Amino acid sequence: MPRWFNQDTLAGALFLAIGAGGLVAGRSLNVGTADAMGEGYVPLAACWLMVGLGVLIAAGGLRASAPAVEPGRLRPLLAVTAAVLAFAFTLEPLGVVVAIFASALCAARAVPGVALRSVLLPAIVLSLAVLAIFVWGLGLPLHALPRLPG
Amino acid sequence: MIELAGALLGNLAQGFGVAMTPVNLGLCLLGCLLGTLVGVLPGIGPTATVAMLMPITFYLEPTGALIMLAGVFYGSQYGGSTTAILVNLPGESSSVVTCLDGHAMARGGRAGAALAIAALASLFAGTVTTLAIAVGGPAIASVALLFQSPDYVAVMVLGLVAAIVLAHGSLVKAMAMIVLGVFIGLVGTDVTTGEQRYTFGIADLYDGVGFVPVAMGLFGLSEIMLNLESRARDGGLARLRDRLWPSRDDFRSATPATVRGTLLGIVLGILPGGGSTIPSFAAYSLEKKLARDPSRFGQGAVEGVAAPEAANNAGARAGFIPMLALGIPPNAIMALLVGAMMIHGIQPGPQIIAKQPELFWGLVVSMWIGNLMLVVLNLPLIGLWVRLIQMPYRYLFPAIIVFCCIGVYSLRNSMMEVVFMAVAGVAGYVLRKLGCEPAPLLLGLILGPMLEENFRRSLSVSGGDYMIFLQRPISASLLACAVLLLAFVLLPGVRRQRQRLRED
Repeated sequence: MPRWFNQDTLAGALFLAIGAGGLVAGRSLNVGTADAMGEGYVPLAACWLMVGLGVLIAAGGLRASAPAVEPGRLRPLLAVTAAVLAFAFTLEPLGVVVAIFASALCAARAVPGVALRSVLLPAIVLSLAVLAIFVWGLGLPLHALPRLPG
Repeated sequence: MIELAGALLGNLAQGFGVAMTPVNLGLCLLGCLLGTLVGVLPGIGPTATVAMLMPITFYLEPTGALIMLAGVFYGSQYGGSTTAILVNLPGESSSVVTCLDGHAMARGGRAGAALAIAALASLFAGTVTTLAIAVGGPAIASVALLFQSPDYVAVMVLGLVAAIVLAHGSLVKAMAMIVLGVFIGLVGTDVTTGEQRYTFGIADLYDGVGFVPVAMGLFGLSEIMLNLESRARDGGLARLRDRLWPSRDDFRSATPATVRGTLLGIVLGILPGGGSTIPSFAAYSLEKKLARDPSRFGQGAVEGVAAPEAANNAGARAGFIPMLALGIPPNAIMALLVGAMMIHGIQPGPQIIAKQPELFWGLVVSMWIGNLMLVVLNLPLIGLWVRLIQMPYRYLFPAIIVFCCIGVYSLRNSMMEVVFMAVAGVAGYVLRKLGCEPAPLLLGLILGPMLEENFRRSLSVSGGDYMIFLQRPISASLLACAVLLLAFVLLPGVRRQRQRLRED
């Protein structure tokens, strides 16, 4: 890993990018004047601040003592995100039980070597608990099973 | 003086009237239990716990909801101390120091005594701090009623500066995170002009970025991801063989430590950004300095459990003072509670005590009742918590994810909110990997709209003259405090000290 590749340079670049992105995306916002601010005054000021702070943070990354990026593992990140997205996209068309199973299956990928059997049983227990607490208990407007067409 | 005391008693009586209704008592109990339940799970701190359980309370009426959320909050904090003592796994940074001597006591077979000392020290701190809120809250609120928009801007700036100063990591990064939070808070329809800002045509963004999905993603999901990466920690289970009650010697050394920890906690906890971590560290090092034989610390010194536990409980609760009296949350958890109040249609601020006394006093009294419940309930339930800690994480986290999803979805019945939570989770993970703590972002997100509104109003009153912030005595002195605070941490000596603290 090259030495410039550390927490500070990357964080600085990230804030710089967000700030610059905000300035570009918000270029049509009306800034107005200090006594009659438009909708863009404060957000664009915040973007400029982020650009400035981003440069400052990145500059700190040139020090020899800048902290290195801790190695991460892609697997948990992807699996957890996939579990949430799976739930989001299956809930409305397919109902809460399918959503829970979809989510649990994705989540199981976070830990290597989990047998299918050890996913299904917790998912069944979890489905029953969710149905009991949220659907029958609190009466949330969730449907349990896939909606039949028509 | 007598009049004041009389008024206080009357108010507390009203509070007892609200807090002792069967429904509110039940909600307080439920909150404490759920909070402890989630709080003892390793790796889930109070902030994540409150964020995850918040949606459950949206179906309640506001007072009950806040009572329950407050219960969740101190329940989870208490749960964190329990795991710190029993298995050497601190739930959050505020119970890190409790691990040192608490777990040492537990390994020596004195787990019961350590847990009892922690519980009693917390109860003492909770009682004193609750009284401080009852006395200090209305006093601060009566001053705050004089505030005009420039003063509000100044008090928020002071709060944000303090949050930067007290953040764990780099100052500039904390500052950037606050600005990012403010920026995200401004997404949506501009209240004054009615124009869309950064909504990109997504209807779910017209009302602004939902606070709950961001908080749950940033704290809950990213915490799960990081936990799954580093699963191998295990401190060895404690033995629970001796009697629970501490000896008379324990009490003799724990009592003064508890009192000192409580006072330190209240003072540091009121400060914006103070929270409960800094008080607990400060209390521990104070005890170590005062002790005749400092080498006992780390080997199971009773003071090393009592003082930080008292300090973190006092600090955590003292945060309610600026939150309730000014509407300014001093730390991430209070920001969550402010968010919950706004969802219930309550605008936090100095007028709350006068306009909704039943909410304020009910909450104050129920915080004390909740503390009592924790002590009475949790000591017998310790065996259950221990068993829960031993449950494999791979069974737990899919359930936690599902509960997060349902909670966020039920907020607006919108799947987009769940997607936003996923995005916030990834963002939280990346930011933490880059050494950026997420707490300042949450503060900025909550304060952003308030800050913009008051900033605009101030400058439109002054005709665009920025000097208005220096002309009003209240705002000028608050801003002066902010500048002094910032200058103070930039002093070379203090910087080195911070550096050293970070490395410890």
